[in-house]
Amino acid sequence: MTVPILVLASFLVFGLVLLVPGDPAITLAGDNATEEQIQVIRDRLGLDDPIHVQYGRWASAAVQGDLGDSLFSGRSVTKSIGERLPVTVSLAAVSVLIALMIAIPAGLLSATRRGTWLDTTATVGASLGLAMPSFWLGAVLALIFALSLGWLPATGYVPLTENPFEWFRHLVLPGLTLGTSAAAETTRQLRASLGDVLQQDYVRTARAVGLRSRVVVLKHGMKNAAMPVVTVLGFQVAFLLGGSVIVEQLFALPGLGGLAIRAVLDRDLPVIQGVVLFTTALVVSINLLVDLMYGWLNPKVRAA
Amino acid sequence: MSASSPEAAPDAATDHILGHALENVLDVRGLTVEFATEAGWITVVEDVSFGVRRGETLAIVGESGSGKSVTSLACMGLLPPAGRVGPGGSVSLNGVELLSQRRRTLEDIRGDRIAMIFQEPMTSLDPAFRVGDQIAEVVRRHRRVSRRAARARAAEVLDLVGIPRARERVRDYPHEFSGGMRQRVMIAMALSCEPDVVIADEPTTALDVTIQAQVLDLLRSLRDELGMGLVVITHDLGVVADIADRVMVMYAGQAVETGLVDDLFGAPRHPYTEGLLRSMPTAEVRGTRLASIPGQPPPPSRFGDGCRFAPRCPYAIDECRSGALVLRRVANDHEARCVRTDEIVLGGVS
Repeated sequence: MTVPILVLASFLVFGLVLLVPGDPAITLAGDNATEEQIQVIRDRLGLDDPIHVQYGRWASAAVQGDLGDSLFSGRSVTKSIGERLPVTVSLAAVSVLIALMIAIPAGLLSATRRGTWLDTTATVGASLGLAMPSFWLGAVLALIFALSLGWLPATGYVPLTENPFEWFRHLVLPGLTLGTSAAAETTRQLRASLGDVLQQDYVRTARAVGLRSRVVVLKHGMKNAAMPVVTVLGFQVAFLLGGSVIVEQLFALPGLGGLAIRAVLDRDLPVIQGVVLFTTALVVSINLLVDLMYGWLNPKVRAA
Repeated sequence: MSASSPEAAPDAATDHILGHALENVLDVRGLTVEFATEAGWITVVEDVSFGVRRGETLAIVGESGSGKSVTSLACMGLLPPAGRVGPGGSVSLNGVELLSQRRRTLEDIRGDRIAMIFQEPMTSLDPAFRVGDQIAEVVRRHRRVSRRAARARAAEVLDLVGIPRARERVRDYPHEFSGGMRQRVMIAMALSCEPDVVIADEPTTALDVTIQAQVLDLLRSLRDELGMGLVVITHDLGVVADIADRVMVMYAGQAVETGLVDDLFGAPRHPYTEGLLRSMPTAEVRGTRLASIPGQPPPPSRFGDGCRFAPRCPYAIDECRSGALVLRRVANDHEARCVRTDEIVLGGVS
């Protein structure tokens, strides 16, 4: 399943070339270019070749890790992505971490204490978390925790290898901004699925054999409730990669989002193609990971 | 049962059917269970008393909604959040009162001294864990043994309940077992700590007829081997005849008749018991229509005073509908809750 999706994505990504209005050679050659100059660029880029030949050339290079060069800076697209990838991955990882740190306790409490004020608080909080747009939430968080209180930096990025503590400090606010909606969605899912699991006959069995209620809920309840939660979390990560474009701008993080925006504004096709293809591969591998988790969580899936 | 029939003389014969409290490994007195509804607390099980001795099987019989499952859940301390045990009742296990125990103490006792087997073998095992690990978890919960020893015990009890190649099958997941085999796994889990009492709630209802007999045989032989008290909850009189020593018939949240199986089947003293017996298919009445009891049992909200079976009873007279009825002794080891029990002649089966 993974490989066909990637091939299909590569078609679509390459198809962008056909959809973009105008001729990249003309754009590249600049305003006062002669017909000859444009033709030279055409020949160099192979733009006159049949479309499948162009695709073949691009795809075979991409498979070998060469996504071409930027039309403007001339830099290798693979290299640009490689530089910015750690930032985006760090942001995504911290966001997921924060989302889980909020969602697991909140979902657990509201599922095991249905109808109490704790449950109500978590449910209302989840609705709020979903309703708040990230650009607004990010601005408010930066205003409070960075500008007023001065506890956390509002902008910038420090690589993990350089200073793990500063790395984390710089990612708390963007991670919170990005992770809030994921936390809200995951809380709702966990509340629903754990609430459902706790009604099951095997939970009654676990109580009947005298297991501690903590063990019943955390071991038997959580493992069975995890499947829909993992599914949602998988979607959330894909969604998060999209959302990171905005959050990276907001907190001046030099991630893939910035690269993508720049490329779109410049109509820098190889870069756009590279970023989209790479992100697709990332999302596809996350889905693969989710599928692998299913196998662990539900032995029946393994057999099928 | 003394709690429900104060005027009955507590003579030796009555004592025998009650079982001496000390002899009964599980002894339930005056158990009442209430459920929260929009109209307030309603009583679903009223003043139920019974006991079971080691090596003995008590069957609790009744239609769905008669309160038999709720009774067993109350004994286990497993009532759903909407349910509670009413005041004045007692459930004692080996002389230890369970109703007043704290939750954690009750958790220590459950699965160790008293265990339960449920009706739904297909859904009663956790699908996400290997059966051997689930049984070993129970063993390690109640015994200070190593992981390895607990796993060995799991294989041992699976073998005991007749699961072929038990040593290999401990590594399988519940979905890899058939319904009958899963019920055996449930039984193995319940027996893993050799409890004093096992309550089996409709243990064979979900199983094929051929498997039913096997599971009953298994329960009987394990009861004898381990010397435990067995409470079987069922609506199936065939199961009662097959496995029980004594019977308690429940109707609309009350015990209506109790006695030894042979006495109760041969000469029932409550019209409801007679109705149940007549609706059981037997060789003698082959080819004729099975008798059924007309009407439905009342819902708990309309239990009311008087005999709860009166609206469906062919023998009912005005006297039946007024005043509370008591369960009283009608013969040695035999009690019935019926005002006309001495004047009507009821038919049994042999």
